Amino acid sequence: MSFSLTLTLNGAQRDIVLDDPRVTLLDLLRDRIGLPGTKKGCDRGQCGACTVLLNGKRVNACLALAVTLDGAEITTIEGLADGDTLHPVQDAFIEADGFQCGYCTPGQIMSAVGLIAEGRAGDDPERIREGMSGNICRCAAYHGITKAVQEATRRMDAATKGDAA
Amino acid sequence: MRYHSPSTFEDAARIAAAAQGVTRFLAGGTDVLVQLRSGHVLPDDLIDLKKIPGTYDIAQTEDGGWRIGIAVPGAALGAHAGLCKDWPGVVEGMELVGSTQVQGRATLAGNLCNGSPAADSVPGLVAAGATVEITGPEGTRSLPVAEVPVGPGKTALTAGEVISAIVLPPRGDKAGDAYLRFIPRTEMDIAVVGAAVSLRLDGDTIAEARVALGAVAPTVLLVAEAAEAIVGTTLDDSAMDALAAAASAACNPIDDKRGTAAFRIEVAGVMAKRAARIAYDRAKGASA
Amino acid sequence: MPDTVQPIRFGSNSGQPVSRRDGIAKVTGAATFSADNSPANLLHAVYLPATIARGRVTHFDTAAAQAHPGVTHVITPANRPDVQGDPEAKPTLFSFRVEILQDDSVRYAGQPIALVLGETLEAATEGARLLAPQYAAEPVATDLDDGAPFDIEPGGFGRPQGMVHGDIDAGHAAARQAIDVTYETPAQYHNAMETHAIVAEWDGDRLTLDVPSQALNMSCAAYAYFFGIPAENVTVRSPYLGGGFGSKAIPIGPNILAILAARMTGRPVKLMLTRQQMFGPTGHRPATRQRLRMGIDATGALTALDHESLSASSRFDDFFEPASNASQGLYAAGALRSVHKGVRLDIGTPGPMRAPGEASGAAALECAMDEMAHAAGMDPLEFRLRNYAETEPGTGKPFSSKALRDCYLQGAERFGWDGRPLDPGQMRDEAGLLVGWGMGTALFPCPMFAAEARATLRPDGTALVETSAADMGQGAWTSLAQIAADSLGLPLDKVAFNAGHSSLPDGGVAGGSGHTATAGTALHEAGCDVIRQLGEIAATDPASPLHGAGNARFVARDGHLFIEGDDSRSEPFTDILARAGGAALTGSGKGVRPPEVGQEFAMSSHGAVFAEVRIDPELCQMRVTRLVGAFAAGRIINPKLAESQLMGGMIWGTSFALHEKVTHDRTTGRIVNADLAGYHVPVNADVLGLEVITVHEDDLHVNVLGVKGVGEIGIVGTVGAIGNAIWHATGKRIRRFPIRIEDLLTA
Repeated sequence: MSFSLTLTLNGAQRDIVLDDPRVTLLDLLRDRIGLPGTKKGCDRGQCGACTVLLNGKRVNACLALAVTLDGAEITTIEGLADGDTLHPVQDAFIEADGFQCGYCTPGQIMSAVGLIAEGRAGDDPERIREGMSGNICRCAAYHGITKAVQEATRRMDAATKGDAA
Repeated sequence: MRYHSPSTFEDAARIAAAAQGVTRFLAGGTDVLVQLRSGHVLPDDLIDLKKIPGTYDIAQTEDGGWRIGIAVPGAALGAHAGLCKDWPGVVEGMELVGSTQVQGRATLAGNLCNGSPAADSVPGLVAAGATVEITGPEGTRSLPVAEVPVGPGKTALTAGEVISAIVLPPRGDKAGDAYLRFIPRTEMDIAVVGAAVSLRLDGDTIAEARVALGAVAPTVLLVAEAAEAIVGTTLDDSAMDALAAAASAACNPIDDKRGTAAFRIEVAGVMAKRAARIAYDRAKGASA
Repeated sequence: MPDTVQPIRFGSNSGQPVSRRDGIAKVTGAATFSADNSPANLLHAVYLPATIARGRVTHFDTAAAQAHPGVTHVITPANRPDVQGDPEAKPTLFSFRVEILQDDSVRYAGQPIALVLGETLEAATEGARLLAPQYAAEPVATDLDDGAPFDIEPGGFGRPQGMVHGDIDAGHAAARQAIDVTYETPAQYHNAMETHAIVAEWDGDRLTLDVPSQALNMSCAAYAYFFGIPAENVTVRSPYLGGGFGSKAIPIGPNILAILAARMTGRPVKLMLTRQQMFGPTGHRPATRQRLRMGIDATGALTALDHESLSASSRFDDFFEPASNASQGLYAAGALRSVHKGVRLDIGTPGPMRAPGEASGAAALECAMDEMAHAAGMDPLEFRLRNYAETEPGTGKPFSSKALRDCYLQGAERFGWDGRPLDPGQMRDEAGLLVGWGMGTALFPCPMFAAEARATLRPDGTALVETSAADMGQGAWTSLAQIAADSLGLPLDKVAFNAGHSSLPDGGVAGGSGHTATAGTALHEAGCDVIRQLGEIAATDPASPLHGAGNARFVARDGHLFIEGDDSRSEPFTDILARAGGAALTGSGKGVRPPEVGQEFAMSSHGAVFAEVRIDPELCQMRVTRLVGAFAAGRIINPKLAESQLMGGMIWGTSFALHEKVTHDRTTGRIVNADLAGYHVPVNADVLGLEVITVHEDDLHVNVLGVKGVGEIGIVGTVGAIGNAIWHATGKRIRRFPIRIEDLLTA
């Protein structure tokens, strides 16, 4: 039994033939199409390390079967920067030291991008902490993560306003 | 494992009825995936419902209620202004299921079918008086949400039956609902106690109420005594005490690693009071 | 505040809050962790963990597993190929006995009992499930009360040494007031976000491993032992570790099985532990029960500090949590005793987990100190100052440096400790929540291991510095490069740093809070070696402005060599090298502490942590709303990264106080909460106000850099501070960690 699906992955269309319906989006990315930036931390939706954007919304890639995603648009950490220009969230994570070992970082950053797009937290630290609580950081860089998301939110807001003006 | 993606619920029910071995329906898939990855359940047949037209829709019904498709992820409930206005308690229950990422996939129907007494979205639905539409080999039927779980991990659905929609009644005027849960951690945890209250006011007085408790018994409880304790009151202190006492009295919890029975009983009363206060304030706000 | 220790050469980089040099790699997903490697022709390995804690495996459905499409090999004790080393042996300092399918016995839940190889991860996973093992189970012991305590025979790693100073009985007898309290701490599991993983590939008798390692070269020796090859035939690549916390210093059985599978099949093999498997063969912090007896005289001075700890270990190996060590060097008691006892249980062998000994021991000690202070009617800070040790308790050795008093004072001031009511239950906030303030002292030793490093100055004026040991998040990629750049007199951006590969000079161990001190010293010496050689070349080159400088000291600054004290004579590195033939110049260095320094001085980092909790009086839900930690840890190479590490440690302390604990099923011995939903660690919303002060501390003795270490000390005082704050809010003294809501509701 094989399945054909088409994904828009980091902006590029990919035709994928899958021989196994058990493959999750996470294992598809990591093991089958060579995008290991998305990390596996628990494989059951408890840690957020595998967070990607699916049709613009953040999801745990470990909780989605690849075979169900025909036609979906997916953004991973590898697709966030524009060439050598980092996304504002990536810049802010470096400046605010929002990570230590870096393993949860791709998930944290994709989650932060999703959170900012949801537009419900603004730069309120309490709401950012709540909105980022699906991403566990065992090094416990939470202080820097919250600062980074605050700062990135402000910069992206300012840029949007600048564009509108 | 065989993967199916039927385009109607009738087809889904037919595939399920004909299947031998273990069958799982896939809506958001968050629970099914966890079962699959943990090696507890490897379905022989996996029936993906998300290709069925309408499963991602939230639609107002003719009587003013809401019909929610079974693949609507939790995050989409919170983004729906009409639903949030009518049933904020139902929405906040679903928004407490896992993280925002989990809610990007997880659904009301899945949370209900998982059959966990601690499922965060269920008390709100029970308090709201929600029903499910069930499609099976014999056609469709309707069942109150309160009657879907029959025990931990068990539902009233029979072989080949699948939930095809969740239906919320019309909200009406001067009404409000709320869901609160208690967890040891600040976020990302499973409820040790959950309490939902839905009520309607006549002036400042509570005219109707429904109180549901989660994680304090093998299934989510609809506690009539707790509702009676506040009907006819303005939620004064003695009504609140009576509500807490009735809520605690209804509990039949277990000791487990997440909390002792005595603790759950005590907390259930407190959570019921706090949820009632929020629902009451929402009802008053709604009438303003 | 400026450093007043001799600058490391010109101090242009050290002390600067430089952002992580590996930052871009980590935020773009380009940083490659072990399991991100997928060589061609890869096989996936999945091991089956035992679901009982004691007994034998009596049956596998091997045929079902073998028949599953995509499964290539099923390995059980019945057909496992031979290894050349003894699984019961300990080939290196950091080794434990391993379970590599040597027989059908089960000695703890989660032990590997079979290995399945498959063409895909999905196939291997399903193959392992289909093995459906049957067991002959025996009764298990998993609780501290389930075994008979015994005195631990001291013997190095894992078998701690107790101590007695003074007459402890006389100290107890002299007490005007005394307490006798018992605290319990649970078993905790490291749970780095990156689960243990390995990609093993053989080429003849040479072995290449992508495996996270806190001790690369030592790991090579251990793996070589099991496969009968020389250590130099093993290459370990570990450029990034997704967190270690002590668990990735020690080779684990599953890694050896993966290497064996690669040798057996002639194909590369990848094995990545699941999160559930992280509660098995990867070590853990064992449970302890600690009795503290303290007495004070009329002035509040401790007459006796008597700390006895009981720690669990496995039935087949020795790692006992050295909890009572926490009392050995902190307070100036008239008499001191630290005792270690052990009990054997049906659990995996414990191991070092971030601040081994000190974390658990200080949790009990600092709460007991609070109890003693309250009994004496003294403020907890005043009580600690009353018993401040000016020299090492017992030995009388001077401290190489000890700015603990400054930690107390600066921390207390920042926190606003003044005016704290002595009695509990006195404070409420505007929302009616109970508020409590507590404090704890932190101490962590500053060991040095042994490391080597190499520095190469290239003709273009840039340099490459190298040492093997890895960055697991502490910031070694950055802070070690800062040290090296200073020693070479180069701006940071001219210095490339290479680490995380066993072919480089042995960087020793990234652990024990000693990596910056050890590898940093080696890199510093390597850089100095290069500059020394450069000076010799210049001094003997008639064309150099430095010619004839003879025995004068040279200093390097911004790519130029100067004569010390004479800024008028200098020459660029590039010119010196160009005239000398244009070859690169290589220097080497070692990082070790001369033994006499340890004889002469007591050496530790210190700190003081202040905590505020707020507690819902109806639900007893606890939130740590403020934590202020002031730490003195010698020279801080990179304040930005050091503060992050200290904050991380303080959050680990919060986790210890309120969250982490495994629970065993008493019948099977399985851990019932073996995942991140059941085993709680803090999430972002659990972390509110958090402040770190790094207190200035000059240390002329610990090493040439004056560096101590900040990796672990953050946890140490925090646990007690939070426990004490909870008591101060509620009046309820909970003597079992983690403190649970139920404890407050029922106490």
